[in-house]
Amino acid sequence: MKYIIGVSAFYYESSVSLIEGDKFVEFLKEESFTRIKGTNVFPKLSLQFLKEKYNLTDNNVVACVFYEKPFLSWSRLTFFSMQKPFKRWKINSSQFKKIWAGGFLFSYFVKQIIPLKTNKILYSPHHVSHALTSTLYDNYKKTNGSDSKLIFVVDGVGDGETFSIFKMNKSNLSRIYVDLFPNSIGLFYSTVTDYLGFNINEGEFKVMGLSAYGKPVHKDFILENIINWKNNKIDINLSWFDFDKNPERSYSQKFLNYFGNTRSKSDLTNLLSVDFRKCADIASSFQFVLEYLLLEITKWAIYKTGIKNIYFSGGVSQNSLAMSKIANINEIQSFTVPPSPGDAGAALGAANFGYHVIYKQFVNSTPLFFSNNFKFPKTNIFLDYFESFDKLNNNIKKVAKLLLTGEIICIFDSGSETGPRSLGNRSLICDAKQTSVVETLNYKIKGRESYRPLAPVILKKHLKKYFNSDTKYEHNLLWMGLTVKAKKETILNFKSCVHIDGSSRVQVVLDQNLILYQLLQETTKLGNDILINTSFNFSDEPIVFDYMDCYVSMVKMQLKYLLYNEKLYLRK
Amino acid sequence: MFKNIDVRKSTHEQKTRTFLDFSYAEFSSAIEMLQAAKLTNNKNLSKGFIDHSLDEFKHTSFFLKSLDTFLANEHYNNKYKFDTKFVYKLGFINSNYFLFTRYTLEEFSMFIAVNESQALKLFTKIKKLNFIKDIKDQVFLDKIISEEKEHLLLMKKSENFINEYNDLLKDEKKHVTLSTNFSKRNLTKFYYKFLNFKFLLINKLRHLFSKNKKINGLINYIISIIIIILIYPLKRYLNETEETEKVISFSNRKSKLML
Repeated sequence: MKYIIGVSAFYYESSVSLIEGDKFVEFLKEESFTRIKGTNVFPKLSLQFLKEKYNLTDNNVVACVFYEKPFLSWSRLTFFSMQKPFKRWKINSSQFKKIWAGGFLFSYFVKQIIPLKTNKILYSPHHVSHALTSTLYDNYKKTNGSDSKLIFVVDGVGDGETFSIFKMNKSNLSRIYVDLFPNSIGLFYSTVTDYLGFNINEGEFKVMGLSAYGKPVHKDFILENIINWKNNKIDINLSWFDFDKNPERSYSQKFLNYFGNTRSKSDLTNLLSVDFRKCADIASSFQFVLEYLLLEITKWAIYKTGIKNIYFSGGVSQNSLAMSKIANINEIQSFTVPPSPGDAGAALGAANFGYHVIYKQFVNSTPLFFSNNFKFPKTNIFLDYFESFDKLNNNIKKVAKLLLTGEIICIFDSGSETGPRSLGNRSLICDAKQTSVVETLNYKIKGRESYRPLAPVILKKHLKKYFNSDTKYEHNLLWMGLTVKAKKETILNFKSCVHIDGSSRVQVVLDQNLILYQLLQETTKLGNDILINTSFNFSDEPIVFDYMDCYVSMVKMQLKYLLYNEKLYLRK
Repeated sequence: MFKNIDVRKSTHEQKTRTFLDFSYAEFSSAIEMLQAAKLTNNKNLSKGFIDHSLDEFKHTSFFLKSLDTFLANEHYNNKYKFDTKFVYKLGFINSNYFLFTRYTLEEFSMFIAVNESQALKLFTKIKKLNFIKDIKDQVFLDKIISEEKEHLLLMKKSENFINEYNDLLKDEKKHVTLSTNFSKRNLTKFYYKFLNFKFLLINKLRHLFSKNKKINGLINYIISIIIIILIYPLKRYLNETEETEKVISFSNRKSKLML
């Protein structure tokens, strides 16, 4: 069997993917091994794991593909900062360090683990890697649209590019639009993330959640003075930002002068306070502008090409609220945003690029879960920490009953998910009807902010009963890629999983093999169609990867029930 | 793992930095212990490492909570954000390996013993240096300004703080005793002393290398100046343009290029 490896590293969430023959068989994030969220070092442990599991050698690996062009990436930012070397001193300094620490050494790092011949090391353009990730999920689509695909890639910056639009026709890919650093919608949004006191790359979800509580009072000002789409180009006024000068702070003094000082830690604790309202209004304004720009650009590209089969990828595509607005554009026939549109998922696209280089065609499908990719620790002390709850074989029924009595259940079952969302195999679940239980799970156990609701999970057949949706984008709900509007009765009966703006990031379950499917079947029989599904991890930690992680997380969260490979256990 | 942190620092910023560094140090220890638990073949050791890891996670939460209290009414500053990825950049965890894969079990235990005793010394010093009293003072100051109700609540919080802190010191003592005893049992007297000295020295050097902003800054400054001087004559050619429309090449030759 021949293998192609895809690697994403050195920016955010390093990861590795593997194609065996013509199928994706593995996708691993380095953070799963290191237990450090967002690990961005070379994914040595993941690659080592794959090497041992698949016996990877120079004989069976045909290509190992890095997700960007390191020199292009480095030179574009360096050349930009060198135009004003002393004003952009800090950026220059950080760029120079990358010469001996980043992607330039990719080949060296790979060969340390798998001694491959140099001609097997390939480099895929960053935005092409993202684009080729987004088309891997066609097998889940209901509507095929046309053969032609229009792919939008939007992120902070990658290979010096910030926004690209590609046209794909069978095995041909061409770019029809590109914007270069510093004209970045992604960095525009991460600036407000930074300003509002959240970590860039992780806090964008929080800004999005917060935006629903505010009014976009600054939208006109932002569009007039800070960023806009003019003459078919993104036009950004850099005097409001520092991301082009300082790697440690994104907003400028001018930004602070206009929007006020950064918030204090206590500002977001009281939803009725003036300070909370101020933050929510700013978040809402930036969210509005982001949506406005993306909508304008999407409509322009559809008009220009006539293609209505739309794909979105890149970090900004994780903004499910903005994606939902785009998906609802009337002209669009089919809309897809992959489960992992960020840099981690780009490892899949990089491998896909390598596949095309070797076999002159693309891989068009990938599983949502990758089987048996969790690592058992060397010692098996599982039963020292957990005891069997019930020796009878009716665990699913038992769990369904426990859920409806207000218990929270941890699930660890078979393969793990690709994206940042737990889709049932590494999940914490509870009954959506019991508001107090959901609130306990959300705020006390997981330590999430009070303005972020949890996500509901529902069988496909019940979707239309509770939510408004359209078949052209419904497949994205299999991996929580979009938000949909809840119906009135849902808002009344399931308050805990509906956001203040009436939206909900619902997960739809279709695959009968999933344990979540079996559980929902049981709870439906007992009178409840909706459960809550959130990732199985403690605040700011990666999703669990093996039973030891399960135990450690359960101790921290004080949870006692674990549904482990279809059997129910109690933590000792 | 635990680095040498200067607890004599007394300005507000330095105290905040100390709480942040303690959080990183405890978090890093927790991660190293969890890795050790997963990698060892010995069931009892594995369980011991997990318990140790859980203690360290608990301590991380404690210091982060302290940091939150300390900064409750201040404006956000990026310098004080806790981001777990920074454990690499700050030198708490080596990006190339976890300690358990690098050292023998005896060396690893010795390393822990050295680090834990350093941590214990630091925490004890902090207690003596009235860091806690400072927080209490600040809490009192807030209480005077705010309502009586809030006053009582915060008072209770500061009492909890001291109790929790004493628990933490007990945990650290336990970790030092366990790892030191293990090392003494399994190492010759000379080797024990040698390792003790070696890890103390490594800690000091690591601290000097990754934490010392002056040295780092100076090296960066020199290298950056050299590169800028070399590239500066090309400045006029650096204003790069990119053709908007192009066909993406999947040729074998081009895909091997970094450019």
